[in-house]
Amino acid sequence: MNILDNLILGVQTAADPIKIGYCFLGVFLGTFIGVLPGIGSLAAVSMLLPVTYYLDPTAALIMLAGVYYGAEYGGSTASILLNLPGTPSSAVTCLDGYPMAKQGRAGVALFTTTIASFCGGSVGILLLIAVAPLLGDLALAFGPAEYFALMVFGLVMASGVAQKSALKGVTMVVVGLVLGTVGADVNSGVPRFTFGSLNLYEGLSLVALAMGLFGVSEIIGSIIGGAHKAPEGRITFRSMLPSRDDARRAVMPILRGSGIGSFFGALPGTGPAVASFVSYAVEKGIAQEPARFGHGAIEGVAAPEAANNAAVQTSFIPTLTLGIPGSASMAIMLGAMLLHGIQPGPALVSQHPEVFWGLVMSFWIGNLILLVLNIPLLGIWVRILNIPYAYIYPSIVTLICIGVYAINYSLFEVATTLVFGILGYVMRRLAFEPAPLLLGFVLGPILEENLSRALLLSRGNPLGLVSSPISALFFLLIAGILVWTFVPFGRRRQPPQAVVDP
Amino acid sequence: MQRNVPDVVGGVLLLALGVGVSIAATSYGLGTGAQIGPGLFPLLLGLVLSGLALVMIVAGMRTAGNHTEPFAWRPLVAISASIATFVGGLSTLGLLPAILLTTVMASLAEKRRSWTAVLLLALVLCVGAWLIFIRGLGLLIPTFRMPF
Repeated sequence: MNILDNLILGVQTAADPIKIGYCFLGVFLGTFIGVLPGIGSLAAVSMLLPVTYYLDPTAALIMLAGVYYGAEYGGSTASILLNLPGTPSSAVTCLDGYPMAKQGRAGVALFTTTIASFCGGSVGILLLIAVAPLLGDLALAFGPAEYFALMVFGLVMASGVAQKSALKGVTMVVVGLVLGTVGADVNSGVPRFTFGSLNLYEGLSLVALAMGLFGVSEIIGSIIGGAHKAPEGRITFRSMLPSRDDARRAVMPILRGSGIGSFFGALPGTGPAVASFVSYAVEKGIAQEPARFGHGAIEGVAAPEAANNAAVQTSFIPTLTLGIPGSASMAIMLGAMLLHGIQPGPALVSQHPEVFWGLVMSFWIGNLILLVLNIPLLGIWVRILNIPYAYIYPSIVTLICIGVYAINYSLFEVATTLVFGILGYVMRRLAFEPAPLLLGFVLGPILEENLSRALLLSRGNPLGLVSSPISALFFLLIAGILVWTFVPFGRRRQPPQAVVDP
Repeated sequence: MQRNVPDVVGGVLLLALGVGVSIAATSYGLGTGAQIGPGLFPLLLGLVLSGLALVMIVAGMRTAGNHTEPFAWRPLVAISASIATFVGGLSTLGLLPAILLTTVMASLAEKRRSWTAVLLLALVLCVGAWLIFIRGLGLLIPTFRMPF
């Protein structure tokens, strides 16, 4: 089958009115939850995961993907209007989006965000269409040693590049890997770290872990933040239209952001967050008047938003073709696919072409829905921001409890959520990021399995892990990243700080 | 002398975890080179974790820390209690009373609240949850249950 046949298959799968309906519902609910302060796309996807259990796998994934980028988009609305980033990637949008809102240009910032998101998303999808099948073919040549090397590479990227403190990032990955070993060992059946409890025999629940670390702990941390007030005044359609000067300034940053975002999204371990930070830094670096940045420069909104959405799309490339999620949100998506009986990996494109291409085309439909939904509905999203937090957080806590319980009718998993909620809050206070932990947790079992197979093939010789050219290349890259991250060559790496004066 | 307190505290906790994991892992059996046992991978992780934690402690003792937000005791306790209430309430009283109690407990996270608003919210959540999860999705959760 050539690309065109595949695309037609995808359109046939995705253009079904029921699937479009679910896509619409997903985007709508995702944006709604994403707009709520303190809740990011990851929590949004895990909260709505139980709702999709009763759908067929393709429809479920289409809806969840809609939730994911709806929430990413909603997060930027909260960042621009309230300076409250829901996700690390939208923290970058705060830098110039919030100053724009304070200058009364919130409408322009939101409009630019919508257009930039759509452009970035489209570029990302085109890359996904072009690269994913090729990568899938390439990945068929991967043995256990190559997979092991690739996963270590992804984990090192996730911990070393994406985090404020590389040491803490690596440590969190290892803690995640340890949590991933809880339960019966696949090969021998020996229960590990179960403390004699049968509830832990099948391992910790991914959703419970994610909801605790990203849902409950975020809520605990944001209650004390106090009241936030969205800017007064209605956002009219007229106030959203950018001036000719704004449009001229925004075009190139959107294109550059799309390119940067597509690149970083596709790498395993780096996701939308890195993409937004890098594209912001690039725009600031090449700007003629860098001093405007941080004071409401439209380029500083357009580029990271384009990069963010491009990366959201291309981060599906390693997830779908290799089964290796690039970010914590993708780890949840991967978990959702496994729950629906779809094993992402090189075989996905050949064995379930309708799932793969249906998903890809639905991304585009979803991005279109995002565009048509958000421009008229911006006023509603703004009003949601004015709901007192006292009503929002008890609702979210209740929803989390029911959602986690509904997956397996297990109160033990609700209790697990509680434990990881407390742990997640303590981690926040000690400045440890939960995202690498979740990535380690998901990849841990796959990593161990491939290590075990690779050692079996090489008859116990650890050098077998690095003997093939592909895995040797990955380990060279890993060594390079580690040296670059931990050995200071008289250079201080300063990521742009998300905190601006309130 | 300046210290990065969060790093030192975090490092000590992680060191304890790493050492504990390493010790427990050896009891699972390490296997041989070609046939790795269930304990080998956790042992490797435990050792790496201990090493990283030591580096973190040493580095944290020598660098200055930045100030952090105040510890949110009240929200932490209230939200934890509300989830615990959900667990206890669902198994004894059923879904709707559990939602009511969870909402009430969660609303204690803030110092001031309007009880009318809290009860109204609980009512809305009960109706919403019943519509979505029981009627809509057909989940088999008991809505009311006798505690005995």
